[in-house]
Amino acid sequence: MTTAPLWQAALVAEQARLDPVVAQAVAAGANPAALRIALQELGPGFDRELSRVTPEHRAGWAVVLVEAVAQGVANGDWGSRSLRHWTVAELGLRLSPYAAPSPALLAGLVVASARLRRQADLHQWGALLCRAAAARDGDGDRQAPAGEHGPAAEPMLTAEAGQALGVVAAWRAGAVGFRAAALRIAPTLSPARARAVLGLDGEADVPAVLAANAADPTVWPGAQLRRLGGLRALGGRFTGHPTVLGGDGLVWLVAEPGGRWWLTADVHGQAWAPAPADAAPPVTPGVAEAGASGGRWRRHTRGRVVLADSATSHELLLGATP
Amino acid sequence: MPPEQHSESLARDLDRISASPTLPGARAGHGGAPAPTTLDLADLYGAPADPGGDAPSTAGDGGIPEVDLGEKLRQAYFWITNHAIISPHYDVEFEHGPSKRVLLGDAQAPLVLPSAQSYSSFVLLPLLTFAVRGRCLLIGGPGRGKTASALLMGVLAGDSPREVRRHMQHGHPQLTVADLFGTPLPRDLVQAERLSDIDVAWRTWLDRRVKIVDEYNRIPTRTQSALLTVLADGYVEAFDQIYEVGRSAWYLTANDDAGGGTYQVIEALRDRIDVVVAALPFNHRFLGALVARIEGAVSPEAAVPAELVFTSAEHDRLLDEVLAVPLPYPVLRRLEHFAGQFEYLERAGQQFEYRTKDTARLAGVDPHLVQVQDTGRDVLSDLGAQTSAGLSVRALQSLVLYAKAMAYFRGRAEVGLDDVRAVLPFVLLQKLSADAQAEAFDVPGAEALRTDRVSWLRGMFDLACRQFDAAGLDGTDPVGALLAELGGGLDGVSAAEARTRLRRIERTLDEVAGQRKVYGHLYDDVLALKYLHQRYLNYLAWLEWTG
Repeated sequence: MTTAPLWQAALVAEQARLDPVVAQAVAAGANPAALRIALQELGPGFDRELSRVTPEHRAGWAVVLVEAVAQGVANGDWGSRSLRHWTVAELGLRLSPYAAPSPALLAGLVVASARLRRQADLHQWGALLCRAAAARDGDGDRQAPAGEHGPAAEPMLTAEAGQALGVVAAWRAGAVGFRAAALRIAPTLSPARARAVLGLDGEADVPAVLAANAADPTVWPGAQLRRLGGLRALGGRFTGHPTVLGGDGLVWLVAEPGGRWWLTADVHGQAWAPAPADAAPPVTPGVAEAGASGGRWRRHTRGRVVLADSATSHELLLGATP
Repeated sequence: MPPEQHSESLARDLDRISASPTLPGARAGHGGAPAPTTLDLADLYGAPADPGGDAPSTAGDGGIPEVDLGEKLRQAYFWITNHAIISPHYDVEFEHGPSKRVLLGDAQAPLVLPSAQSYSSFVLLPLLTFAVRGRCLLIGGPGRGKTASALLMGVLAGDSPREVRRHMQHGHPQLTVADLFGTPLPRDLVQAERLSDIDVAWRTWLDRRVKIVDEYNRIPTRTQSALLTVLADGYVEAFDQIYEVGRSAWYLTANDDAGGGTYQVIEALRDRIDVVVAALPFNHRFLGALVARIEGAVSPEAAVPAELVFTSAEHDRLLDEVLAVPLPYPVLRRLEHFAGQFEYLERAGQQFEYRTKDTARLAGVDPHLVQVQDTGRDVLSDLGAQTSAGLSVRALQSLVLYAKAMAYFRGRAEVGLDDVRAVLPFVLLQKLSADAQAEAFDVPGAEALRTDRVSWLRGMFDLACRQFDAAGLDGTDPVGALLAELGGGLDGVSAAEARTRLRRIERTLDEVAGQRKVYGHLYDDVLALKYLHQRYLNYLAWLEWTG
């Protein structure tokens, strides 16, 4: 603890609030020694990330960090390989200088990372969040360099703003279920934060990119053909060759020997859900039904979105026409 | 899952709450909102972050979604059963389609494998009591978890375990009214010139939303009477001072409610209790979980997740939402039919109104002795012959309230017959006393019903429903039609129409009289017809007077 004087001071200052938290964790089965080690482990990161914020803000973060660690240790969910550990000790601490007045953000991150575990690339999600939190408008929207914390020009993230960024980052990292929410939230962000959380370069026209994607879900700067499905024996989805029965460009109905599936897919992610045997493909009024073309790959086109199946492949191809 | 892992899981993960939905198919909240087809903020974080830190989410203030209290209540149930109270029983059974029945032992006792989500009464009933702020008696031998269960309810109301323990009242033979409620300030006792000048230092437990009285049958009779006032009417009176305690959830415990306490519980106090639930025995196959709990020094009451705590506003809304669950007429009608079975005692009185068990009891005569004089009655199908008293209005109020709570807990849009059936035995356990000498208990296979009162009550309700179906009362209810006709109001009803209705009432009465035997529910019908007859007769008299 001597190597982290700020952490130690914050714990001492908040002892009255933290004692019941620790007592509850111990009552729930947390090993006191393991809890002590876990809390000590957070010290250096805390001192490094939160050295430039006010003591009040440090105290607020100290409380939520102890709560998160105590719950994790009590549940046996704390260790170098645990998701909670990554969310709290890495992502949370990296975000803390940009959200110093809003420690409540941490609890949301812990819940969100658990919910995104199988839906999105969590490392990409975390990286986009940190990039967006550090982004600043002006000066060519430059990113905060490593080691520069607490930018004075950009307002600190509130918990609500942090959550909104998390939703957009979740979509961008592959959780297609958050697509509609992200398309709603992204235009409300500052240009620099929007570009950062969407993973776009500094010259990208965010409204134009979003509008194009809203019309055709596979359209995105630099987008490549995506392969979906695959043979179940090799970790994929299908037991046989899939056939596209139709769709509206975002939601598709796919049949294969193992049953029918709803596929929701766009340029960033995909989600599958079992469909009943009598399910009919969704149709969006006004979207042209281009029908399936011939060849080895049968192309099903809706607007600029193309989903192709093949009688000889366990995969589907998703892309956009030029 | 290996057994050791199972034991471990019962004792660990104490802050893990069952994932929603805990009951697929239940209404999402009670506002009827459809489930979203795409994911949004709340799906990622549970609920948007509260920038203020500690302000509870409230209804309709700035778009923060209202907490689904039904789901929260179910999550509390599953947290308690999974982590806090080792009660792997599912005695409150529900069916969705046929359930498998396995006959066991020489007695061929059926074990039902319910086809729908079922519950442990020992956890469920206290939780429903919490929801409706009712009065629950937990009975069972020492060390069965009665006090622990009550303690958890106090924690769900937001108190720390320490506070709950501090506010818990422990019954003992020397407990005085002052010990229980508060003492007058000694200075005032000396100086006061009037009673109203005496300030009483009220005990702090009186303003808690959850009140616990441990071993209430050890409290002396005089103190029980004082407890009755606060339990029944929600106020305490001492030295001319009144202290309003408001509506609370009450938990009383007793090792033995059949007179085994230090003092006999006064009848009125017993009658004020809404539900009685017995602690079921420990299942010794779960000893491993107990060992893991001891080794880990786990205290579940100290680890109740904050998400499960009901704020005062949520607790109020919970009750409002429970009360708003409708009781549809077909269910109400069957409940009327069942409840009407018990009071009628043909030979207890000469005037029809006094042919009740109450008449016999008030005269100091055992209703059973009167009952046995009535020969020719089918003692098996006459439910009234199995009890020594009828149902009180208070019992019916409790039954309706808990049936609503049951339906709410199950996420149903309205009370179903299965909801009534589920809670009925626990509400009526000590409100409907069995006539232990009744012939129905001598039938082979029915002897166990003398001791298993839950099965006895549930069986009587099932029989009443079967009789209701056999008589086709769902479709035929002339008395109900006549009552509904009067319920439409008398404004504009002509004298000729009133006379027609009177004739119809008399005809309906003649039809009842044509039946050979009068059973309990017909007793109610007959008196309802008499009431209708009087109403129309008075109306006719008024019409004639007004010209």
